[in-house]
Amino acid sequence: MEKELDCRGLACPAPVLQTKQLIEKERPGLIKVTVDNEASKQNVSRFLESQNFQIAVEQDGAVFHVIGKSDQKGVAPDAFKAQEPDMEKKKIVVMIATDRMGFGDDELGLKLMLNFIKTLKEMGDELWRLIFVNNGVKLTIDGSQVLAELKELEEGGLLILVCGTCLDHFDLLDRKQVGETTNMLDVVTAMQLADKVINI
Amino acid sequence: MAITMRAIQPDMTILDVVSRYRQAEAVFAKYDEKAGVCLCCEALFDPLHQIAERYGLDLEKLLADLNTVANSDSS
Repeated sequence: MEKELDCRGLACPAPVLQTKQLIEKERPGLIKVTVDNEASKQNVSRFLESQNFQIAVEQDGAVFHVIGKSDQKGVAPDAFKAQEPDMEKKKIVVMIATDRMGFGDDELGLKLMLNFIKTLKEMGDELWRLIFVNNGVKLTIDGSQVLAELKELEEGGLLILVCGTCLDHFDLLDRKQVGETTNMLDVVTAMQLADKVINI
Repeated sequence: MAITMRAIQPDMTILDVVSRYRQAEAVFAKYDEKAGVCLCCEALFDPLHQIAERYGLDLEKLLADLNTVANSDSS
């Protein structure tokens, strides 16, 4: 069962509420929500992910089509594949909980971490989420030596999530330069939906 | 003594609140200016206590405003 929602002209939270209502009422196997602003695109995607939908986003000028697919029976897999050929790729989550790699020598650990971030792009499109928690959030703030690399990854379409509680703990909320401030629900959901989680 | 149960609790997210009480959207809009962001855009999935802390909002005042709306909505 495929459902479409046209939420153009609506601001948050309306697109998410309409999506929520439709899912609760009909639980479609395939849903396409059309929005025309970045916040709605992100929030509808996050909501659908939290409901165990696989997400693909198509952009047409200023309009975004957020397409969600669930495992509900009765949906022809090819219908979704035609709209999102990348769905068969693995989804890898990399969670970085420190600004140093390994233990023993901090100077070496920092060099290794910087090199690790710079090399992450070699994962290609399979790198699905990059999550920073605890001391790792310090890599996302002004003065970070890998800011340019992280921004490049983000501009390439990678969703970077930065722990809001951690930024707040270190009093760094105003200094974050890259990524979306996130919460534990997003972290857990990303881990649940990923094919592989790499912890650093 | 009557015990009043608050409908809106600090661990509820904005989405929890507005999906149950649509009029609460206006309350959040009222706090947008103080927060410096559109709360329903930037923090829809975050719990209220975390939002208050992050954006320097008075949590008790926010909860009181939301509960006023919730109570009038359900009356």
